[in-house]
Amino acid sequence: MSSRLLELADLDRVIHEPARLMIAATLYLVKEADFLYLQRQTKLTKGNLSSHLAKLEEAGYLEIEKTYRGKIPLTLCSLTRKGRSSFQAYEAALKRALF
Amino acid sequence: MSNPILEARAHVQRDRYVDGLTEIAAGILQLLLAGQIFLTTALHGSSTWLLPLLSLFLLAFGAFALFQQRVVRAIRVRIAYSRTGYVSYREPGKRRRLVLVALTALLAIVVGVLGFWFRGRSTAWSPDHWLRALPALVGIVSSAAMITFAIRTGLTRFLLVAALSSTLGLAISYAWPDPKLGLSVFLACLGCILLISGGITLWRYRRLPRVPSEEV
Repeated sequence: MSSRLLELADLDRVIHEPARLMIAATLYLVKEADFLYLQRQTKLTKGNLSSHLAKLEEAGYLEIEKTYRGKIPLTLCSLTRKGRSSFQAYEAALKRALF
Repeated sequence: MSNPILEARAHVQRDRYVDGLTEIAAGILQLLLAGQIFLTTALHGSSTWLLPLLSLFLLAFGAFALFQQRVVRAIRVRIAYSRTGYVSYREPGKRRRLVLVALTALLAIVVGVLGFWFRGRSTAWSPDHWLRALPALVGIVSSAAMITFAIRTGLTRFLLVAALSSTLGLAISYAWPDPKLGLSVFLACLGCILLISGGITLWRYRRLPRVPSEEV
């Protein structure tokens, strides 16, 4: 088996899960986004999105800030430095193995 | 094979223009610029109206150019964030800024070299020749940028704006008798096209249902 293909075994499993990959890919491109924006982009249900955000936060890849816009609660999400570098590494590893 | 990460990138870029506000702001800037050029052409140099009107346009242009991002953001908070959610975009990186500066410099050099070349070939050369060619040049360059952007993001309305921009630029450069007035008419038309395109986009966007506040 090709050594490049074997690299797939070392992929970051936190990011590799499809829903979390969608979240990370979206947040990688922006500074921060709220829950509604992420829900629209990923088409995940609220519960599903919440649980995946919690997993990314647990891994230290995501920062969640609960704030208010006027009287409306706002959940702001952004990738941490660790999250950004992990996503870059994941993207590079995937490209090396598949393309 | 399509790359889902590139698709996500295009999607995020597309979302930036989903409400049409950026185009409306660009259209207003074009109209203010066209107004300044029109004033200097239409009013005689000794007219008492020229200075106050020109100052007013310059002030409006400067103030709008300076505060347009804040104005757009304030409107977006009211109309967009309850429909499609809040998102704050990353500032362009150092590399991207350098590329933009290099491209602008390259364009300026090409225009300059062409100018000297034409000047050398034609005995009846005057600055009016350049002024006359400017609508065509601006139209072609801006439409090339818009076509690239439309292909990258999949926003087809920019293809139409690009086609109108280059056609209008070429037509005005070729047929308009007064080059300075032609330039102001071109900029005004381009501003109107952007306003109409942005206005239709905004109108359609506002028809999207709002998400109840407790679900945000």
